[in-house]
Amino acid sequence: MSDNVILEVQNVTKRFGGLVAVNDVSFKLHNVEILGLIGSNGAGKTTLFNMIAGAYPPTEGKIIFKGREIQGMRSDNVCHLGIGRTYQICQPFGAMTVRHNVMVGAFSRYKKRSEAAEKANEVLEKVGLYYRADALGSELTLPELKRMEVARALATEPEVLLLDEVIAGLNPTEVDIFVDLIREVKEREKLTIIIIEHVMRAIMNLSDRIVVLNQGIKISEGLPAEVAADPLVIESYLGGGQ
Amino acid sequence: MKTLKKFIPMAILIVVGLFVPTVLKSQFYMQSAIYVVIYMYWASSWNILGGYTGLFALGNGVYIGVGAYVTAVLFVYCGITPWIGMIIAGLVAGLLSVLIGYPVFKLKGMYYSLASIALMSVFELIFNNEMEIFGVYTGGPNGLRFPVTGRALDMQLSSKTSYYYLVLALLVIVLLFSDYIQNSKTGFYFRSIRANQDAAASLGVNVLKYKLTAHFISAFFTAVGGAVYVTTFLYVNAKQVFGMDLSFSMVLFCILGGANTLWGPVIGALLMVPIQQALRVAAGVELAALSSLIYGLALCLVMLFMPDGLLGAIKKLIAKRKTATVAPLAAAVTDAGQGGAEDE
Ligand SMILES: Nc1ncnc2c1ncn2[C@@H]1O[C@H](COP(=O)(O)OP(=O)(O)OP(=O)(O)O)[C@@H](O)[C@H]1O
Ligand SMILES: [Mg+2]
Repeated sequence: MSDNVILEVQNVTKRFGGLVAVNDVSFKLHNVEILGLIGSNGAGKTTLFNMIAGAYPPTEGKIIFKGREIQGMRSDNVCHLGIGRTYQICQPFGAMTVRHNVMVGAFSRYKKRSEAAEKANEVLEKVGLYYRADALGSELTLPELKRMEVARALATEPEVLLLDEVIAGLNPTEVDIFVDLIREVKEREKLTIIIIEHVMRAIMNLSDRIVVLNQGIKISEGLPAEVAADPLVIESYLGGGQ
Repeated sequence: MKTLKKFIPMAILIVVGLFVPTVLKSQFYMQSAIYVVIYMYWASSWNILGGYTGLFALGNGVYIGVGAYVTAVLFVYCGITPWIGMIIAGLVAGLLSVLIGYPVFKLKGMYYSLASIALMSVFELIFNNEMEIFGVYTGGPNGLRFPVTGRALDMQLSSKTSYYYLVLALLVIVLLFSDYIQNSKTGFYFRSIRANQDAAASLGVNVLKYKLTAHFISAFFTAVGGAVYVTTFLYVNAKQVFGMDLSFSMVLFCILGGANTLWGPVIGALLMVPIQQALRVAAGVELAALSSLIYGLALCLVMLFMPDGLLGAIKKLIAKRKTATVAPLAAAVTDAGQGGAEDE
């Protein structure tokens, strides 16, 4: 299965001053799978995403994308290589329309405005946000913002998509719709996805495999059923009222 | 239809602009008209940096000065006509802005603005106090005089009206260029950086490269304006071009009219320059000495109470009551903004 690895995180550590946010974490991501990344608040999940996406470099360790070391690379370069990400706290370009927000992503692949617009429309259609294409980023509701985050990332035509709590804050109906949406997009685009989520029903349902972080340390990895039955996970995370 | 609507304001500007000299008969009023148009031009140049890209430089007058001095020196010592000198001056200023931009972008928000003022003050000090710069005599406080040739080939035009048409042409060029940029990938990237540079970077925007691009374009146009400005006087000195007044004014006019819109800077300067001129005539030298203080205050007030400027306020008003009668105006105003409403 190792030839099928698209992204590998090798002994990655991130320190913020005295705080070890991510502690010697390693895992592999296989082509066209959905990997769930779970763990309690402050476990280091977003920090891990930030390092993969190039927001900042790891203190130690390597991140290998398609055989190439990318740790410490600038985020725009990481994007061009084919890794897209969404933000846990949505980061819309508020004064720009939804279509224009998405076009910014599309311009990473298409030089011409008309092509970028076409790509944006296509992606908006896909995530079910086309009807809001002319609304301003600042006018969206939370579920719409989450869709726009996904649309912008998709417009960069990634091979690996990092989704940071895109389901959090949605009501149960919306959760189901979003889970379907993610699965659909993955199948159609042959995407590989890492998804951070606290909504257990969704993550167990979506993920092919799951990695569990606790206080920066990877404490478990495996199939959803295996992870759910892991005493260490139950004690440190699932048991905690989730 | 869309392109047609977009060109209506431009057509109005050009037609009205061309007819102004037939109405304004005196030299004094023509000089005022030149001021109005060149401030429209500078405010529009600043808009590319401060408006579209959100880089709030307060010392962009430094490029007026660099443009002016480069042009003057090239003409005085090398006999290079300002027609060519202004382009060289633009390129020199652009290059300088890139060199400066590199370290300055590490600074966030207010510190960036302060650094840009500091830079300009340093230039003013140097040019005002040193008689020679890099071995070239620039005259310190005495400034530098252009030899009079009276030839149009040396940009020494026969009348105020001719200079007026020259700056009007510059204005049209910077507006057409701004509109082109706004609707291109570069413009989208500028706006994304203004909104959220981390998110922009994650979508593939090379933030540093595009900030430097905005710096270069803005500095280039500003400097070309500086070149023409001093050529109309055939004289340049440090206080005249590196002072706070010019820098603060272009920012104030742009924001008052509506930063981040194509026509905001034009409207801002149209309203404010006559007021500024009238005040200068009425109050004389004492007030002029206070002018940068007044501009600073005015700028603070506008930003507090009208952050989107006049165009922004009008847009909001129209959005509130979208009636049939104001729809064409609404369309024109919106088109002037973020690259137009569209049905892509
Ligand atoms: N830029 C930063 N500077 C200092 N500390 C940080 C920084 N970013 C994150 N941390 C700290 O690192 C730890 C991990 O944070 P992180 O955001 O990765 O957690 P998380 O697993 O995403 O949590 P949540 O589920 O709440 O989103 C936390 O203790 C956090 O306070
Ligand atoms: Mg997080």
